[in-house]
Amino acid sequence: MADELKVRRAKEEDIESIADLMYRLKKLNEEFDTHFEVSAKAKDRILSSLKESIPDSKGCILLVGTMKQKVVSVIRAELRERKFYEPPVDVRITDFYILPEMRRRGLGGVMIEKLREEMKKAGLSLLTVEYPAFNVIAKNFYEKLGFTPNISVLRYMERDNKK
Amino acid sequence: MDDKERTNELNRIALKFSEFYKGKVGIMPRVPITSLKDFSYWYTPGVAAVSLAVNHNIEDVFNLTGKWNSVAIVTDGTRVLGLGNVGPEASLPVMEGKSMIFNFLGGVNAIPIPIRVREKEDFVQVAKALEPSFGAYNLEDIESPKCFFVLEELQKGLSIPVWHDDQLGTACITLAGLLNSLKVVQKKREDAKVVLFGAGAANIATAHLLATAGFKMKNIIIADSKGILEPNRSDIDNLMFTNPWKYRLALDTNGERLTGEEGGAFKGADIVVSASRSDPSTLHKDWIRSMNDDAIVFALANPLPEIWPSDAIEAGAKIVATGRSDFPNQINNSLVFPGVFRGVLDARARKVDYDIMVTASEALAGRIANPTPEEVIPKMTDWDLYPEVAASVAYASSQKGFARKNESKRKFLEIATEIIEHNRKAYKTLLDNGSIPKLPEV
Repeated sequence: MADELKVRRAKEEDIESIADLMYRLKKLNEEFDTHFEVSAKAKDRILSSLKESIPDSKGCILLVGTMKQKVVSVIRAELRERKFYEPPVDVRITDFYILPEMRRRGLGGVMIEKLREEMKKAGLSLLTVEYPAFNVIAKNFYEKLGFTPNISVLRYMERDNKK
Repeated sequence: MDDKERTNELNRIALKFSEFYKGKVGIMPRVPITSLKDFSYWYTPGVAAVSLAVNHNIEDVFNLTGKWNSVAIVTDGTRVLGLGNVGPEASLPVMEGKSMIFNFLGGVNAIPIPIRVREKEDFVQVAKALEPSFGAYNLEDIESPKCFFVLEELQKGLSIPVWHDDQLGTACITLAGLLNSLKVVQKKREDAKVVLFGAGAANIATAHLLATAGFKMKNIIIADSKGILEPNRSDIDNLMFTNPWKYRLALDTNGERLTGEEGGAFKGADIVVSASRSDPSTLHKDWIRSMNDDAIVFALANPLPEIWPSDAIEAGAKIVATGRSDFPNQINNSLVFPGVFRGVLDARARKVDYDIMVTASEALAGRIANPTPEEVIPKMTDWDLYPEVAASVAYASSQKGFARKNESKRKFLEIATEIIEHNRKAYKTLLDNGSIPKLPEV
């Protein structure tokens, strides 16, 4: 089934489909932590940010998985500068979503592999990922692919700590 | 006396009897004790040799102790009957009742073990620690989806069969009834479109059992209060984390990818199995009308089915089953678990799976030679049913390589029949000679 999946750089005509998948991801993140409460303007903001970044893909790599011409998955990775470390650029996966219907078929691994190919072409070697701390499915997925813990991000919200 | 008055009267009697007998089951020695010297081999010093023998060969615990015939009925009391989370102490009367049925119908020594735990991981840890005493586990009255996690973890981690009756027992008797129903309406299981209404413990297990029995997963539609279960439903990502068992079925069932409200699932369906809200207005007559000819309707909620049988028949159903004894075709777990446990214990099985359950369902269905719309399920008073199910289960366990003890099916039938009959005779003796006091006046 993974053979039928085509992974390519996102195009302008994909924007609506990608926005839908990214919005679903944000809603999923909301399940894990109240601090990921999705903004009422999220849909519009996703659309406008996609319109800005496609087709130039400045500062990010945006790939889509398609099956029979339908966009079924998206992976978005930001290129982040690391001024004081080597290598100087960190490719950070910020959004990765596969339509439920298409899960459990190996598509996730295929998408990551394609991203790594794109990185190689661009001479990039460090790949990292961020996801809500309680998303154990994501944690297990990346660990299986060889990812190891890197940095910890903790949060502090005034509203949670008022007496 | 109407239904409500009858229920109130039964409640009053139950409380009075419970106070009189102070517990429905007890433990009694099964060896002769006539003088003090008997203790020297049943207990010290002789028992030390038995202990060392088991220490030397742990499997001998099945030959030298009562483990071979002991079952733990484990619950946390989080979903007791229709009462909800009443806690472990309040679950004890129900677990004692279950233990009584285990013994009376299956000759099994089943010990009620309500445990006080909060987290599902703690439940698993406590249950695992109890394994040495028991030949099998029956999990009972655990809230969903915790029950799926506990069953899965214990089945993975123990070398004895683990059963959750609310899931597996209900699925087994449902399949038995459906096999005979399909015979009556002359339809094939591989062609049947099935609606599972309600996505709790029973129907999630039923989906898997039906698929194992030859029904097509793609022909099964699951619906609940949020509508038809399908991969694009708005709660699907939430289910991936909160109820992965339901989530997986959302991806695997509903080949037509029907969407929308629950009523839409019924159109053209051959079968509906409802394990939902105990209210006769839950299943609408219009939904039954939209089903295929000769519709089969199993409305399993207790005490009130999701639709009255007369309404279902008026709307076109050919066969109706409920959880009640006052209508034809009672779907009752008590037809299943005594025989299944007798079977796995007699084979000293290491596990039980959906294939074994299909065997049990077929044995149950086979008790009715010529099913009719009013008789697709055997009755509890079919006394030969329990050893028959036991022998089928034991032999299937042996065939699948799950058994520690292998015999022919005929031999397993002899073993089960002897244990059950011996147990029943011993009980009758106690009853007849007054050792078990007669019921008090009500």
